[in-house]
Amino acid sequence: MTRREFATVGAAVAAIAAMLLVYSQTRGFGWDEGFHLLAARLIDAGKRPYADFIFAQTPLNAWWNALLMRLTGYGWRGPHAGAALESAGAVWLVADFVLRRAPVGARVWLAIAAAASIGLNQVAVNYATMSQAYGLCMLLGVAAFRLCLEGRAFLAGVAAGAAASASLLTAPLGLTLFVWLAFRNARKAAAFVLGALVGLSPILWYLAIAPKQLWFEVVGFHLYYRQVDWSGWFLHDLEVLTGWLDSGQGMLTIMLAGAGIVLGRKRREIVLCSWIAIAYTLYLSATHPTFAQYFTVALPFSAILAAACLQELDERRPQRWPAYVVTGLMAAMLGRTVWQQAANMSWANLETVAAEVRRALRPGDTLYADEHIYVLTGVMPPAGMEWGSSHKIAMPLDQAHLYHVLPQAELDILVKRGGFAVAESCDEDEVKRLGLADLYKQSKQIGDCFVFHELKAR
Amino acid sequence: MNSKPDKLLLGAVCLAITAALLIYSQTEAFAWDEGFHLLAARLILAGKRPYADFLFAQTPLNAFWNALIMRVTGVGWRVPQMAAALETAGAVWLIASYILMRSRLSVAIAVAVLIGLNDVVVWYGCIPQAYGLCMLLGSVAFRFCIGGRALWAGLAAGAAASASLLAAPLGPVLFVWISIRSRMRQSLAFVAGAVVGLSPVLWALATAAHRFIFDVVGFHVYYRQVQWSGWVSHDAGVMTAWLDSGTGLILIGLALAGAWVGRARDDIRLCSWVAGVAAAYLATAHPTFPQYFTAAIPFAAVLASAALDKVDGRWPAVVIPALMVAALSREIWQEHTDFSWATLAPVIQKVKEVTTPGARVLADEHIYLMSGIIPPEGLEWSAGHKIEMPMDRARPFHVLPQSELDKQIRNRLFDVLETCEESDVKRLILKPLYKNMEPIGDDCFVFWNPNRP
Repeated sequence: MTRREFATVGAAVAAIAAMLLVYSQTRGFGWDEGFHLLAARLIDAGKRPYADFIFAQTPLNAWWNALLMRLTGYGWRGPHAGAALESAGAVWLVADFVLRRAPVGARVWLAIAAAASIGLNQVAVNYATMSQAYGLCMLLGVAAFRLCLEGRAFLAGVAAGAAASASLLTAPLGLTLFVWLAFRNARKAAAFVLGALVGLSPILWYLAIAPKQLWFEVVGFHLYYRQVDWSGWFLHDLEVLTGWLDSGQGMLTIMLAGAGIVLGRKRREIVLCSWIAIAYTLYLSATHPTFAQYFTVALPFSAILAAACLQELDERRPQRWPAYVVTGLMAAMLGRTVWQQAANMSWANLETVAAEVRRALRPGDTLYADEHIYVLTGVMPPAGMEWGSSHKIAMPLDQAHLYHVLPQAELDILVKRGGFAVAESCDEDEVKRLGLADLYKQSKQIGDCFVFHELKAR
Repeated sequence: MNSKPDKLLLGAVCLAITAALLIYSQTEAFAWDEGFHLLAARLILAGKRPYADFLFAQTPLNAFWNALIMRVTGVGWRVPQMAAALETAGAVWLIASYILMRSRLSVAIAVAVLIGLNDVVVWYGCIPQAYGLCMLLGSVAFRFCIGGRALWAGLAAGAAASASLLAAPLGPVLFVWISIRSRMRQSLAFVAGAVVGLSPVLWALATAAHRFIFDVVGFHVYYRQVQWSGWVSHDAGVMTAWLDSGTGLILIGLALAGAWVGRARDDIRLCSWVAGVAAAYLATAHPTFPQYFTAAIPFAAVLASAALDKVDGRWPAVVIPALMVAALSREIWQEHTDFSWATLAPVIQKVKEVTTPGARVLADEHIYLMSGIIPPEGLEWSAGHKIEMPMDRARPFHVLPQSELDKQIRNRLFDVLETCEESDVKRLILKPLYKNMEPIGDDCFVFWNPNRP
């Protein structure tokens, strides 16, 4: 690799990183990130996930966000910037991997095409630039893959374990790498296991201090409660799994990766990459309900497979245009999506809502709100209100207390009895169902959201 | 030269596509705009003349064709939709058989599937708007032009423009092509054929020139964009939609690649010009819609064949059909609960039930068609109401401006009123105007017994 090649690919990745950073600070928003940020806020305030509040994710990403908040201040901007940089890190690791392994001549453009396949993927841009674990998982996943191929099994284990500690979406990665190593070198496989234990230490820590809660929240919730209130999950999943057929980027990514699996089947690294991509696809397809963003964790591997396909084409007949076309198309498709999503909800909308909530709150008031509003206002949620989705866990109260769960029926009673001085919701159905307009004297609608205050006398 | 088994296999594929299109045309196919096309055919059948007797913002051949079908098979939507599906299938067959003569079986199969199972072709090539006919006539014109039969090429190109102005660029491109490459005689033959093909338009021009120009040109130039403030971003969305569609990406990607790698071939150069000019022209129809581009799809598919020609092996015949079938199945499954003719059946039934002989009825075009009620003057095409002009100017064009229509509604001049626009029910505060109202399905309402003072 020449200095010039390194600089060219580096410049392309830097441009992608800059775009991801800008997006993370302007448009980056996901409804589910609210509870991730709130969890980080609670950890920073001294609370422990599982032991002190319900948290249905493995803990590393929440810790990481808590650290970022501590360094950059409470809010979403620091964690968003962190996520964008993690994603950019994954893009760099993939581009550098392709650059080092592809033959001289086309390798710069192959590396740039691989970088574009991840960094300009619209799902990655939407989801890996916010505070959920997608960016971190991509970074740790591709790091584990590269370390494994370089024979640094212990460190590969650390990275794979840490990825699983950030999100269980990456669970198949460690298993695939372990099997791969076990077939080749038992000693390295053992080193990998040791490393994985280190990487999994955040989970092991909580398993030691709150085993019952951790098991229920990280495993039991997903097995028994995820599908509650979601009767159409089968059709939903089918729609997600076939979504690539109706997406230009999806079609391009899947076709190139599929061709890469076939064309690169004699290359050791491509075989490993293929197994990881296949294992991810099968596992993520089985998480009911599944979502398109879950598959971002597999994107670095599909990008390497896509580069393998382009490299094979180049070796058969030297030509650079496929790499140019892939890069150009990814950029055009992303541009179209960002333009079309310009009117979607963003943190800027919620900051207006949070300002209204702040105006309505008096010292000591209890607040019923979405997680984002707790984060933006700095108000601590009452016990059981740390995660909106947990209310669908219907169980007897003595059991619910152990897991810090407030079942929907109990919450409804609390709301209707006037248990919250201020209520905020961005779910109009919920506002109607609870009859909030009849409970409060004052209300204000801001976009899709509603703020209520001044309880009516009963 | 292709063998007989190849031809049989391609025939079987085309037959399967035809069967799929026919089934779709009789079950799911529906577009809101087809109502006024069918109603125009119904009015022609009843002796009315487009332009002269009612507002009609299209060239007339497709309406004449639908009227002929209705004359033979009875008034309704089924047979016109069946005919449209067969026209589309005809285009698939013409292009695929052409490719088989020039290339391998696997490429011809891929091309047949690229046209026949393209989602936009399926949605719109199976309804009685002119898309199927335009694709068929465009493919015929192309084959005649390549075959050196200029008179017939001109006839088909002229007829395509007579069916819809969306096909208008085809004739000029073919004419220039023929003029540059052959003797003057061929060009003249093309023009003579085109004049014959354009005879329905020429007849309309001769009988109601002023109205024809207003309806077919003036409306599109001055009134199409009315009540459509966001047409620029809408059009940009339509023009870039292929970037966000798996099958769109395959077709456009292959077509662009084919235009480049096949640039030394005569037929590919011609198709590049036709597809390029058509795309540029259709992009200027503000607002434009994806279905407009169906007229260019047969030509894009020929271009795609040039790219597929360069690919070794038979995989295009497996991978492309598999992807197209999977993508189309997904689309049909997702669109399954959308509006269809079956949704309208209870509305039609209710309108028939509450309409007494001689009653004045305001309804959507589909309801007029299927209930057998002839619409009052000015109500033949609901989109015509957005033409706001003084009544003395509007009357000669058979236009009833929205403001006038609203007055008539508020003055309770309609004995029965049907609408599938909830926003109109609210805007016109219809409920107090009628003694009886029945909502049907999620979207439609029938009002009857006006509360006349």
